[in-house]
Amino acid sequence: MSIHKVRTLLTVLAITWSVATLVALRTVGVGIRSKVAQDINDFLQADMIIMENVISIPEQVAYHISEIPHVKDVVGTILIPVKVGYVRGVNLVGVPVSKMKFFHVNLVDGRLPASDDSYEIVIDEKLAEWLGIKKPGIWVSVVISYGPIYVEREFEVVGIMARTSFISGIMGASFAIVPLKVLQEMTDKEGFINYIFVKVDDRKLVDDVARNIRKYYPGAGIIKQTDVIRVILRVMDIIRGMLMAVTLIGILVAAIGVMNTVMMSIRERIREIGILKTIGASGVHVLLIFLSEVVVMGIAGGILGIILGYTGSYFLRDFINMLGLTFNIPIQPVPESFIMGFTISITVSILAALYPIYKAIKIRPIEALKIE
Amino acid sequence: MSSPVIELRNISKIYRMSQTVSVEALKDVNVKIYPGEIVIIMGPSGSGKSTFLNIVGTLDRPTSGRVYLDGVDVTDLPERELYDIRLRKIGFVFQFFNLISTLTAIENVMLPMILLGELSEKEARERALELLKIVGLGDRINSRPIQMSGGQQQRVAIARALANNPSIVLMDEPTGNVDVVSEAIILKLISILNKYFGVTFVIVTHNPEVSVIGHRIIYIRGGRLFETKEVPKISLDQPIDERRIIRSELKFLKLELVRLRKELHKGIISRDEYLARAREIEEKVHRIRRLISNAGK
Repeated sequence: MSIHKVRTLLTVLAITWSVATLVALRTVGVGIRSKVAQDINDFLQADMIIMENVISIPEQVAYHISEIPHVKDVVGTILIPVKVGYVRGVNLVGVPVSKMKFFHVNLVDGRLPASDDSYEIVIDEKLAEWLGIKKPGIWVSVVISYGPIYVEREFEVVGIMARTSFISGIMGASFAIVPLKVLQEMTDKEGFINYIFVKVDDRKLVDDVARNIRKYYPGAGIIKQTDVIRVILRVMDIIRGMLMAVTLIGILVAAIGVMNTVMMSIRERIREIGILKTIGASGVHVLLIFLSEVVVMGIAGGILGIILGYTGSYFLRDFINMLGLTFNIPIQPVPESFIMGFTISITVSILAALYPIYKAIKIRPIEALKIE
Repeated sequence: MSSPVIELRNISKIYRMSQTVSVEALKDVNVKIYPGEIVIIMGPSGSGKSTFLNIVGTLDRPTSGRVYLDGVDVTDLPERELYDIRLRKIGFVFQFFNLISTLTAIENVMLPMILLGELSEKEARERALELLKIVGLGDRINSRPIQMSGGQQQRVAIARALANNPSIVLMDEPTGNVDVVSEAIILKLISILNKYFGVTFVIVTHNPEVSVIGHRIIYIRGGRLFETKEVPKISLDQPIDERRIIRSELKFLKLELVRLRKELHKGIISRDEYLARAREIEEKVHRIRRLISNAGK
């Protein structure tokens, strides 16, 4: 293979690489974004959360909140970290049995706790895996070591739920659900809760509802779902910006590669340019000859880059999962990223080639013909 | 006598090497070259031969004086108009052939026609084939320059020079890089093209054998022209079949007529222009017929 072909190939690869990076990062980025938005919805199961570190909110507060206009549903819970079996840091949520459906628990196996005072627990898949539980019906110990409290109880695993949540993936945390009454009894906080989940009938009114809740419960720590999404998306934007910078460097390298290739190609063919111009080829002809070469490189690099980038996004996802995030990022073709990659590869190639081509056009035929 | 194809009036060319040093390559040169002539330019190295050829070929501009091509003053034309003039009116043949190495013989010959853009690719191919037949390479049309001998490459270059039916063909040492047999073929070809086709040639050479075919010989020495009508007579071998060339020649002219008719229909040329050019071609055909019948006697 001639040196010219090798050089062209390498340049196409440089373009391919930069387009592939762009497409892959964008595809995965869009996947994560949609996943996050959807997951926060699933995870919070609420438009608003009122929370306290200690279990000090009287249950009545939840009833009062349900009276506020536009509040669709309210559930008062206890959420504390516990040790299940030998696994620490499991988030245990105590939910009244009548309100279980508030959280849309996605059961893989088994059922939800049957009554408010039964020692029954629903754990997530990951926790089940860690504990080596394949089927419901096994008993596990739950240890609460919370401030001055230390209690240990045996629970029967009655259900295993799916864990697809992005948040749990990021936090590496597992979740488990038990009846609220049982948890209150264990912590000796009958009638008290620390988390209130609120759903409103119209998302646009979340702020109004939050304001009204503060009237009943001044100083309440209120997290709105929109806030959470906003914060997470902002963090992701920053990450995306940094990835973009990496991509830009790739594009710059590709541009320099194209420029170099065209320069070398022109230097090699300076005599041919001289011949063409002597015969009567105009500047436009010379421009078209070299530009067509560059455009072909741009198109090849663009198409290869899109293919490589899209397949690469699966690898990137697996890589992210390997780093410890266990959630499944949906990979879907993002046409916008394809168009962007393709446009960039062609425009960058053309722009990078313009200067050397301009120099080629300015070559005087008699000078070019003197060069052997 | 008809009007000259090329006329140089008081041409001087000075190359400035630095502030104080300058070289005067041509000094007040006056020359007229008429249609149908073969003019040989001879002279030692550095005498200004190449400068002369570059100025005639519009590749270089004189320091002073005017250049006329077919009666049009081309001295100060902008570069983009000169491209067109070179494409239509001037054919170049160089010592080192200067074919495009990545193109085949026929593609090299088609190149000027494609650049001109008046013919479809098919028509250009047809014409190029006839031209290659004229130069005796009808069987090598798909060879690349590297697969051909120097003489063959030079004949492809001659075919390329003729592609757009130029007013004049400029040759710079056309036999400088070919073997003796090829040289004879090329010289014979030049005289045949001149005789039957009426092609005008300006040939720069060191080689006294080339000057045999010339009608006029111009010597350049120190940037000045000295003209002589004396042409040394050396007989040439005749390795070329004239009849075959003439057949292709006639076919070529026929294609040219077809092209003119097409251009007329497309409205590229006016009716008057068509008639004038058609008459030119008819004259060429008559001339060939006359020469053939004379040869037959």
